[in-house]
Amino acid sequence: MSALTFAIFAPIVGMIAILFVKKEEAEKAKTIGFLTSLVMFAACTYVAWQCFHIPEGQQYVLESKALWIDLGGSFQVHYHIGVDGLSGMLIFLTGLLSVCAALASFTIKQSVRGYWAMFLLLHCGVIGTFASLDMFLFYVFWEIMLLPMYFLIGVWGGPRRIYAAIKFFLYTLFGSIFLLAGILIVYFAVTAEGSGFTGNPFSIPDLTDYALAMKGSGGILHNFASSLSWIPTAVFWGMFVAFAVKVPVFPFHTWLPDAHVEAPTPISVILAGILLKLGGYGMLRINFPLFPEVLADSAFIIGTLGCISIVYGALVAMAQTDFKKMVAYSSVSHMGFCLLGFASMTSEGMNGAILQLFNHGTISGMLFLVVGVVYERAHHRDLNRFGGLMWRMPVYATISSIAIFASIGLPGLSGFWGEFLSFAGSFKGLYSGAKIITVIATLGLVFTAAYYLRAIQKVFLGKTNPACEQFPDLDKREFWMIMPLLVPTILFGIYPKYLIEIYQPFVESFMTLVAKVGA
Amino acid sequence: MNEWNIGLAMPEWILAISALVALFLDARTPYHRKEGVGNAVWIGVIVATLWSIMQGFGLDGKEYAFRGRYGLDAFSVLFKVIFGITAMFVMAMSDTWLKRVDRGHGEFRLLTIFATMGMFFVASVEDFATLFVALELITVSFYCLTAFKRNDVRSIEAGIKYIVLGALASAFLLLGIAFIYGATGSLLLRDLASSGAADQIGHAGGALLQFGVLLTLVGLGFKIAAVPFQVWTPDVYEGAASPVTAFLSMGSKAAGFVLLLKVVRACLGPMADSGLAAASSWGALIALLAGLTILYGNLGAMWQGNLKRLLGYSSIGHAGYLLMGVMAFNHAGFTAILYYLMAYLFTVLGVFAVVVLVNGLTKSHRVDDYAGLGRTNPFLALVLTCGLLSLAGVPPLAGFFGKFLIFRAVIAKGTVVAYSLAAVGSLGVVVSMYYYLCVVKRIYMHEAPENGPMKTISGISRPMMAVLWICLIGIFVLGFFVQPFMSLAEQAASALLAG
Amino acid sequence: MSIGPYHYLGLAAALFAIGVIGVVTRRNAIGVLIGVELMLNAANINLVAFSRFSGGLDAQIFAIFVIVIAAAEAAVALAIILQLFEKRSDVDVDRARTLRG
Repeated sequence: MSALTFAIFAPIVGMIAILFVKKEEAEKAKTIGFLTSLVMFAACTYVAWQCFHIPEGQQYVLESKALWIDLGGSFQVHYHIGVDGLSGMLIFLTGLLSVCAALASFTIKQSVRGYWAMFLLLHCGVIGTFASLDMFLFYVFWEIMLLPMYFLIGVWGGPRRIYAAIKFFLYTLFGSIFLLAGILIVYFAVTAEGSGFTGNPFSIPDLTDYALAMKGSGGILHNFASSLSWIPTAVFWGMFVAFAVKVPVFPFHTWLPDAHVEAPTPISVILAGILLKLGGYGMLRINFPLFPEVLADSAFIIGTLGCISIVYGALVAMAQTDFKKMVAYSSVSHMGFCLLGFASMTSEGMNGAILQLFNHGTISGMLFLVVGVVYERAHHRDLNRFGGLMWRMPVYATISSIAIFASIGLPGLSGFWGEFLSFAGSFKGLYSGAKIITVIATLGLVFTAAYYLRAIQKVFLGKTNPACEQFPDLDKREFWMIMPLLVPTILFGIYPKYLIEIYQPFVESFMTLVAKVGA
Repeated sequence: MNEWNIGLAMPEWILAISALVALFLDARTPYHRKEGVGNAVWIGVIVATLWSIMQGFGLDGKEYAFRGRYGLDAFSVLFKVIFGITAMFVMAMSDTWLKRVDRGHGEFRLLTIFATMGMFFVASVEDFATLFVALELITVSFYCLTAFKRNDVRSIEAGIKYIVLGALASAFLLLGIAFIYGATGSLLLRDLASSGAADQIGHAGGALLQFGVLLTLVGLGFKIAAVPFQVWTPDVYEGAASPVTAFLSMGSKAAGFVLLLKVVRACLGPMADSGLAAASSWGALIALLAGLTILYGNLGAMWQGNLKRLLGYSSIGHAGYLLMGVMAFNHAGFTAILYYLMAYLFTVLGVFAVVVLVNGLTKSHRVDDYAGLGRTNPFLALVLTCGLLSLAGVPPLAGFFGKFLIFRAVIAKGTVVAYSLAAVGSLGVVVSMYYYLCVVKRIYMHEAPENGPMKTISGISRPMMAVLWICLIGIFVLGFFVQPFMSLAEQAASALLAG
Repeated sequence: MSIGPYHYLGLAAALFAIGVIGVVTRRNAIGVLIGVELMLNAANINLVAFSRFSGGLDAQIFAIFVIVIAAAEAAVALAIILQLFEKRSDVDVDRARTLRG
């Protein structure tokens, strides 16, 4: 059993162990859950470490492949997993955030066993999705994630949790039906006679190679494209919608503020830190490599959507008085940078977008933890009812300010690199109108600074609100749940090279795919 | 083919003998001591099912009995096992349910075994006369079962609705059979397949035959609850006792599909093989019905506050998905239908097992009254949730794979009709997800009202516990370990297509 | 004039139509039941006629089966209708609407 398989199924083992915990000893579930997340973190770190040494001429490491479903003919679904730098990096992020979220989950008192079982199942789905190299397997893991998330929001969430949970579920399901339809159409196209495809019709590496080989001659759907020229475009956009819902991209974002606001703190952390990354990851792994030509044609629309997300998210965040809702909308805004970077199809843009995936994971995770800490004390999140926390909770205020400045994109903190490179790449974007879009998108930066600085001023500066007089500073657990995210924020802010190094091979191969077609 | 070979029908003989023994015991025992009847029925069904499995192992191609009017192949064996398991699960549920009823225990079990016997015959039908008799054996037993709660006006009303519409459908079916007979001069299904009926059916001269096939489909459409013959379903599902509803939703529906597949294979198969233009118009007709059925069932279910009624509508929706497989009309489509039904077996019976237990406690079928089930009865809540999600088609549960195979078979047709049908089907999936989730939400996210009837259910009988566990495991196994069940379904579909 | 298959078919069609009309228009459950019986017997006439004029004997035997089944069906239906009568003291199918939605 490879370390990757172990990382995927360790949560399941933990979950089964929790199911055997007796009702009277529900606290044990907490211990098991936390220990499992530590094990998961270790496994994920090992997996990521392996990605630094991908042997020459090999795209993935820790690959394992076993036949899962054989429906005869070419319809063979494999349990095919493996990681490259991109997925390795995101799996590391998953492990890191799972520990932080597990620490933050210690305050959950209601149905403890159920909570931890769902918490672990969620991680199985997430790591499985990142590791899948088979489209069908990817889809299955993608859906496995949905249910625990639905329960985690719906059972342990805030007052409007049920509405938020169903909205989240239906939005994602709506998208994923397009994904499944796309997978099936690709399967039928490449296995039809005369397609010239020899690999496995579900294997992502095989299909990517095929897409490269078919450059300029109709792409992987050239069979259909000759008679129905709209099919590749339709499949591309169908899959795009599936992932865009997760990212989330305007206009598919409306589930996000609801889900974030209602979810308990650790679940918000995972939602913002990991689940949103899955959208971007899906685009990079499946959507774009399979249809590089359509990507080139659609770059303008994708860039525009990214730009709208950035500006719109920032403007709406500015109007919020709820701290958590503000952070939630800032996620919409910040994930827009990724789209901007993708659309540019330049190496800088890709670098920036991928950096943004990782850094937004740590920074937004941190921000949600910060919000959670103050909510635990005040039992409200109204920005206008805080004030002067700097003097009562100095450690907390310092950490929060670092997180906020990182999110604004202050040089020296990790958020800067993603934004900077995305914009730099986007400005050189290969599609017409790239410059105008980039300029408009930079407006988002100004708004971002505005609402974040206002939040700092209202919460941490000024006169201490009498209601906040008695707030204790961070305790040990709270300190250590934020620290693992603070370290990479500063570390990769000063020295992003480690991060860039790990996924560089992916960007290079992606650029060859795009360049050969686009040029 | 022309021998009597009556030993081949041993499972049916066993069922008949045990039914007679049960009938005898029933007449000899006072009304409150019907354990003997129950035992006879249990033994009969178990032995018959095991015998069918053994027959399946020793089977070589297709064997005939009763001078060619009864056939046994992989397809029939698979369905006999499905029907046997269904009957066992239903009997476990009825044992639990009958504890709340003071009389009629013997009759209830007898009717169950008669219906099961009808289903076993249905799986082996080779001519229209057997088809009609076997179908009526099931249907008449179900009329009685539906109206079984004599003190409950809703049950009687359900019985009336079922019998009026059911008898109407039987009349249409019979007229259809008469026309088919008039056109071909034979009641045997395989004669229909080989008599050049295909040429007739494809041309104007075959009007009699076409009309006959159409009427037959009407009659069978009623059994499977396809639009526009679905009106009885929600009422009957709501009015009948829960074990009966479970039996209806699995046994009766599967029996309807067995016959539909056999008739479609015999009537339309040769036509599709010879590539006649009429084949596509029949396909379009079935596609239209499938689409309407999916939409009607799923949209109707959205507004239901009664769980059994909701399941009634959802069962209409599932009939639509199964019809999609019929529309695909090839090996892949038939395989998909068989897999779907296997998955449906564990899924829907698991759901109904929970419904029976909860109803015993709360005396209610309202969805709202399931609030707090997750807290009071975690295991039942788990089974119900997994069942509902599998019905909705969430991977990696059994129901997902059934739906997936159906969609694969339909999309592979590659026609505009097929694509539109797939689109309608996906819309149905999203809609169905909504109303299933509304139930799940009640279970876990709403608290039971103070002093409400919801509390921990104790004293679940052993067979009932076994049903719950088998269904739960089945839901996961058929989603994860697809291969063995897939090959069963493929063999059965090949046997069906071989004729 | 000799009696050919079309006469039988005509009679059966007429009977079937009368039966359908009865089922659709009658509100009394017994009336509905009679309509259904007419339809079944119309189909029976068809079976026997086809058997007599074209095929073998099997459809005539089938018709006997159908008669038996129709009798069983009628017995069950009447029993259920009686139950409804006990509860409601009428057998109007239109008024059987406790179950709806």
